[in-house]
Order: sequence, then structure tokens, then C-alpha cells
Amino acid sequence: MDRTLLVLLAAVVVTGGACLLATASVPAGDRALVATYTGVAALALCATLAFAAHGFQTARRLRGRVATMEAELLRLADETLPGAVKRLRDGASSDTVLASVVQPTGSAHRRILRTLVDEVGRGERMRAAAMSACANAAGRVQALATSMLADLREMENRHDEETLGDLLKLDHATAQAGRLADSIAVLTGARSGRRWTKPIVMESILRGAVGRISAYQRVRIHSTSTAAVAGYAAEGVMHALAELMDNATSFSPPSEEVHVYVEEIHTGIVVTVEDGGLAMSSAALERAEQAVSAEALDLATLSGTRLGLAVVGCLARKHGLTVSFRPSSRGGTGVVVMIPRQLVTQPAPEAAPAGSRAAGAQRRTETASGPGDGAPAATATLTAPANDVAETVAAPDAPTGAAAPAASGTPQAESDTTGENMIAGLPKRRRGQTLAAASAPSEASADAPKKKPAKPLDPGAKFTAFREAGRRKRTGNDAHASEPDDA
Amino acid sequence: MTRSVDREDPDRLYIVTGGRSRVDESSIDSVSLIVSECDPTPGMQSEHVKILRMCTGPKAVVEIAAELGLPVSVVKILLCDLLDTGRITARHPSSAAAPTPGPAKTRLPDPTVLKQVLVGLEKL
Amino acid sequence: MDLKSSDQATGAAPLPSTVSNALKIVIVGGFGVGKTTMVRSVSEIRPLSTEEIMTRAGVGIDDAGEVRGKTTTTVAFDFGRITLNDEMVLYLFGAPGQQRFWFLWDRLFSGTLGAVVLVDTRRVQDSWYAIDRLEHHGMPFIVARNDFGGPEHRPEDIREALDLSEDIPLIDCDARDRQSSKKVLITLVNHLYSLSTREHV
Repeated sequence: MDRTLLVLLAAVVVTGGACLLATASVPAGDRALVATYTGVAALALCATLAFAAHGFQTARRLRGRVATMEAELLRLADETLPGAVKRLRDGASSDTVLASVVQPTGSAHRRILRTLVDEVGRGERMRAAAMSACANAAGRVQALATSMLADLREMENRHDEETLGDLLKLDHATAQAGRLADSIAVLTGARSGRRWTKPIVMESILRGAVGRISAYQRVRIHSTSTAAVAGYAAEGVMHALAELMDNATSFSPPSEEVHVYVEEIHTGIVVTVEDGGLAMSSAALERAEQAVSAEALDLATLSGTRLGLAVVGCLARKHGLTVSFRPSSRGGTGVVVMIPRQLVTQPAPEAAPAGSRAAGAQRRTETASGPGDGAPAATATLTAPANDVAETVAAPDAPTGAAAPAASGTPQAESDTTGENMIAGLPKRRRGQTLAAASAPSEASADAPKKKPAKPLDPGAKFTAFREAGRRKRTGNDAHASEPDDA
Repeated sequence: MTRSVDREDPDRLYIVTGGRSRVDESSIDSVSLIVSECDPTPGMQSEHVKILRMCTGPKAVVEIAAELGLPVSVVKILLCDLLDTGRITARHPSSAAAPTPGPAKTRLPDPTVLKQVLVGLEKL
Repeated sequence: MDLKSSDQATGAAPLPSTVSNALKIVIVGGFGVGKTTMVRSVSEIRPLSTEEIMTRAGVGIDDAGEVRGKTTTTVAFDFGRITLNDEMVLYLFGAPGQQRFWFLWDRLFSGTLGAVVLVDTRRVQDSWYAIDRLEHHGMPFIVARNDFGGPEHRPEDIREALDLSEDIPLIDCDARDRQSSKKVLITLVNHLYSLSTREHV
């Protein structure tokens, strides 16, 4: 504006001067006319000049502003927004991010920044919440599966062949469910479900892996290795191998076996899983290798149904396993897994593979019963105090005198305290009563079918037995609950 | 969620038995005495190896089960494998040698056997 | 694990290689009545169990004390061994008397010579189911009262309370004592012998 004034002033001075000069130089008679015309011309010129100066001025100003805005936009696009998004991905809240970035001067730019940061922040929160919900649920399923597996194993020890088959089926299903939960845990970055506190020998590693897949009966294991995998890595190695074995059985005909070979080399242990399915194309091999060797897991590449290789990739990164794919000599695909040497331990010399259990038994026996020369007398002396323990333990619920039977907690003692049911302070047994009690309500699953249990009972007696059974069952449960079970 | 499992092994029983829950095991009694007839070979299932090593002298099925820490029914399956391939022999108790469909349990033992038991017990 | 160390595990010399016939006697009774103690007092091996692995914490402690420290019931049965001669070996099984363990009878104890019912007079009811089952199966048995120092009961009272037939032997014993436990076994075998000769005559 000042410049415009300056130009105007200069123009006025110059044109004014010119006017005066022109007016002075003409004869007096024409002066009025010349003065008028030159004055008008000067005014017009001044106005034009002032306008031109003003326009020029404005254009320069606008060019400057455009350049500033352009720079700001570039900074927003190239620095501010990517930086903000990165910080949001790293877990910062949108407010924190907005407070920390350089605010653009333009209000529209500020709005753009705020909207983007808010939206990305919301998406990030949703992703994190979903991940954590998945990880949490997976962890709970893992814990459930682990305790179910322990319970099943305990039941398998207690039950006979009839039940064993069913229990083994449940065991297998639970192991597979556990693996699925493990996979979700791995993909969501949760901790692994189990941590083994001892090195696990290769035989157990391979069995642990094959036990988690559906078609375990198609897998043939060829291993003479006596090496063991360090406890902290054992679960991950088993899981990775299980996923690869599962792939191998899934992508080969059900009639084909999958062969697993183990080879100890100086840099570790090589496990090869070979199937007899269709050979993978070189592009497919490359994709598979890409999936297991990528720098980091990209959730966007996960497909809904096939998580296996992504899981293997995560586990390989975590434990330093090398996984490679190649065509198999058996016609299908071969997967080679290298377990690095730092994860491998060799068992103590001369100890049998997986002998830890027997070795444990031996050690404990020696401490319990002396040097193990087996002299029965020595054993007997050592156990005498133990029997005292038994007595002391049994003593509290064994009052003396006539009160003993009443306090012993069985329903008969409490309900049948009439004289005819007591013999010198001892409750009296009625023959067959417990069998009737056991078989009446539940048809006594454990009853041996050698004789008809109800044979000696007439209908009336049966009814009595049934009532007694019901009573015994009701109170009997309480009685047993208060008493530790017999070993 | 991590759980310490120092007393457990990753081996599930259905893997140990190859998916079998029973075999024709009527031939093997809980006190059948098992004797190995050969040495373990490399690549053999570890349970088979242990059985062959522990049965260089006669050993009852229940003792084997206790030492392996496996249920008796699972041990019987493992023993059947070894019996079928001739790697072990089994000496069955005479009382269970002829399983009869009837009430075999009520059958009283042979007096001459009982006499020998008495003599054996008296020496204790 | 070589043979030597696995024998150390059971704490005894291996069976003679000539042994060919294994016999079974079952000691049955309620919780804490002293079954394991009795097996241990006469066994040449430390009593073993199929569930050994789960109960190691209680090594050297009788079954009553052992269950105190754990929350689950796992031990199905435990057993000991007596080598009778070069051909015969006797296995002693301590079996829980409760109904839920009775399936073991068919699974493990078929061909059993006979049974000892171990009774604690403070809790005689614990033996009722076992006695009923044995009578039901026609399995010969004797009753042994393990002396826990409780109130004295006359044998005829115990016999009547348990409703035992006259021909079933009833004796007192101290399961901790080797000679006493041995006497219990001999009483059972004598009982079996008399039943057997009576039948065979």
C-alpha cells in the first residue's frame, strides 16, 4: 500500500511537474485549455500508475502466501501426518500426538490433521482392543486346554480299556484345540501357552508336535536322535513342527504318509517333513518361503483359514529357526527346519533318551530307602516312622469309646444308632447292603456282571435297599468330602 | 497363562500307542512275567527300548507299568507290539492261563501250589 | 537306564531268571487302614504304583499321610513282591475298598488267590463294601484287624458286627510288623488250603 502511495506520489509529482511545464510553455491564451487537458491526462496517468502499482503489489503478496501454504501442505503431507500416524501406531493417544506435532497455521490444515489423527487413532484403538481380546481369549483357552490335558492324562491312568479309548479321543481333540489357541496367541503376540522347565528330547518334541494334528496316524517319524531342545524353546519348536506337519497332511492325499526325518548336524538339528502330495510350483514355494521368513508379521496378509505358515514365521523369528521349502523326493513338498545349536542340548552320557522319569525314580528311591541294596529290614525300619504319621493323621477323627462309631461320619453310624445295629460299639454290617446301595441308583457301572446283583433280594428288600442307597449317597458324599480320598 | 509343567511330558498317550486304546491283550495278565529276547535297536520307540532294557530278567507287567509311569493298559499295548515281533516272551501266571468264561474267580487254587506258597512265606 | 540302575529303582535284586509263575494276593481296605504299610513290611521291593509319578512328594509316608498334601486322588493301587522260590513269585496288591476303584478287580486282580480285608475298628464301615463285593464274587478272604490302639473289641463282637461266617478267619495284626503281616498272609493261604483240599476231596 505504501508503495502504491509512493508510486502515486511520484506520479503526482512527475505528472504535476510535466503539467506545469507544459502549461508554462504554451501561450497564455491556451494555458487554461492545456492545463485542463494535461491535468486530466496526469490524473489519469497517476491513477493508472497507482492501480498498476497496487496490482503488482497484490500479486506479489499473493504469490508469497501461496508459496507458504504450499510449503505447509508439503510439511503436513510429508512430515506431520506420517509422523503422527507412526506415533499413533506406536500406541500414543491422538491427543498426545496432536499436542506434540507442529500445528499447521491454516485452520483447514489443522482440521485435516485433527480428523486424520482422530480416525487413525480410533482405528488403532480398535485394532489393539481386538488383538488384546483375542490374545486374552487365546490365553484362557490355552490354560483350559493345558489343565484339561493334565486331567485327561490323570483319568487315562485311572480308567480301564473301555474308557481309555474315549479318553484318548478327547485328549486328541483337546490337544488340537490347544494348538489353535496357541496359534492365535502367537499371532497376537501373546506368550506361549506352556513353558517346559526341562529340556525335551527329540522323540518327545516330535510326538508332542504330531499329537496336535488331526491326521497324526499318517505321520511316520524316523529319528535316532538323542538330543534335546531347551525347555524355553521346546513349546515353540513343537508348535512350528505341528503346523508344518498339519500342512503336509492337509495338502497330500489321505492315503499318503508323511515322513519326518531328523538329522543332527554340527550347527544344530535338521527336521525334514516330506509329503507325497502335489509338488508346489516354484512361485508357491517362493510365497511359502516368504511367509515364513518375512521380517515381521503383517496381519493384513493373513487369510482367514490358513494361519499355519504365518505362525511358523512368528515362531521361527522368535527362536531363530530356519525354514525352507523344496520339492520333495517323494513327489510332494519337503520342508526343512533347522533348529539352531544354541537351542539343542545333549542328554547326559549313557542316559537313555527320555529317561528323566526313571532317573528321577531312582534318585528319589535312593534317598527314601537308603543306598538301594534292597535289604527289606532296612526298608522296614525306615518306614516305621511313616506309619506313625499315618496314625497321627488318622487319630483326630477317631475318638475313643462309644462315641467312635457315631463320629466316624458314615450315614449308617449316624442314622442307625439303635441297639440292634450296634455290636459293642461297632456298627453292624448287613450283607449285600452296600452292593444294593451301589447298584440301585446308578446301575453300578463298576459292578462286575458275573451274577445278577439283585438276585438275593425280594422286591421289598430291593425297595429298602433303594431308599438306603439314596440316603447313603446323600450323606455319604458329605462324609467322603470331609475325608481325603485313599490313594 | 504360562503354566509350569515340570512333571508332565509332551507325549500324549495316543501317540505312544499309535492311536490304539486296546489290543487283544487277554493273553497278557497284570502279573505276566516279561523277558526280553533281544537288545534295543536305534530308532525304536523309547518305551520299547526301556522295556527291553528293564526286562533282561523276568519282570511283571505291573512293575513295568510302574517304572514307565504309564497305565497298565497302555503298557499291555506296547508289550503286544514286542510280543508280536518276538522281541520279548511272556510267562503267564498259571492261574490265568486258562481263562474260562464262567466265574473263574471262584475257582480255588491248586493245593500243591498253595503248599509251595506256604513254604515260601514261612521262609520270609 | 541300564538294568542295574533300574533295579536300584525298585530297591531289590531282580527275580531269578527261572521264575515262571506269578501269583496274586490282594489286600483291600479303606483309606488309611494300612494297606501300603502291610505291603511294604513284607515286600522285597519298595511298594510301587502305576501312579508313582504323581505321588512322589509323599515317598516314605504311608498312604494316609501322603494324601494330606495333595488335592487329587490318583493312585489306583500299589503293590509289592515276594519271591517264593525259583519258580514262583507272589505279588501283593494294596487295593482301595471304595466302590469307585473296584473296576481294578477285573482289570488287575483276575486269578487272585485270595484277599485280606484290612479293618480299622474305628471305621469298620469302610470295609463293608469290600466284604460285600468279595462275598458276591465268591472270592475267598480273611479279615485282619490292624491295631491302631483304639478301643478294644472282642473278636466275636467284630465278627458279629461284620456279619462274618464262622469259617472266615479273623485275626489281629500290626501292619508295620513284618512277622505280623507274614502271619496274616500265612493265615490266608492256610484258609485257602483248607478250602481247596475240602473241595478237592
